[in-house]
Amino acid sequence: MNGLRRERLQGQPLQVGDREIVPEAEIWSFQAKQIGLKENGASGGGAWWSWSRPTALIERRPGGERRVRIDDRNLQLEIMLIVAAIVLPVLLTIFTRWANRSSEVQRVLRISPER
Amino acid sequence: MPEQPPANPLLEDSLNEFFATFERAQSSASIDNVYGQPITYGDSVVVPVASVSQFFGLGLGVGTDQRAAGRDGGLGGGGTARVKARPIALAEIMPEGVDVHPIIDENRALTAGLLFAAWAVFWAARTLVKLFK
Repeated sequence: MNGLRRERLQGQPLQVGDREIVPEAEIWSFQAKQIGLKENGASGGGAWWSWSRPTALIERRPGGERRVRIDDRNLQLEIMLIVAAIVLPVLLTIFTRWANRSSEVQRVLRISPER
Repeated sequence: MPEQPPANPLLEDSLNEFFATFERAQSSASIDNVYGQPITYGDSVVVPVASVSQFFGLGLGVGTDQRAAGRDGGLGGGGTARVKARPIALAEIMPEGVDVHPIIDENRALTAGLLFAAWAVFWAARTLVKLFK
């Protein structure tokens, strides 16, 4: 089936003492394929991509359940830098326009005959 | 009723293999790729954790010359694939609880930081030029 798909899966539990550790992961996948059928043959192609990432370890013990998140620190840093790289030009452009406008207003006020 | 294309074993096999490749790819993206084999270390069990990305693309063409006496056929195709696994953390399962130790790829972080610094310097310089021109 063509399109984007997202699945959250749990793996085989790992028994450690009286506790059970269940790994959990998220899998993103995308596929696109097409075949053209003709009278004397067929041609086509396709592509498939997937990204599997860990989400958490679920610790089950007789007293209850605890979820330990697994963070991708590199990815977090990269997302933070990308957001900063988008926000920075916007802020600097707004600042430049504001600064140029206020200096223009001051210049007009300085040469105005009323003053 | 629309005319059905004549049965062609080469074409049929090729198409079956084409679709089976996607089925196999979908089943290869499993949670077992993300979590490695547990390693016992003293009282603790250590599980390596990774982020895995996979890609492949393929194209094919199948043709038959129906005018030829033996109905000659031909098949051609090509493809590319890439698999990348990046370590993310080590999960340590201790008697007192579970601890996750993140793995930071310093080279990657440094590259991203330098790219951002270059971008920031460019915009700062551009802003100064616009302010004082």
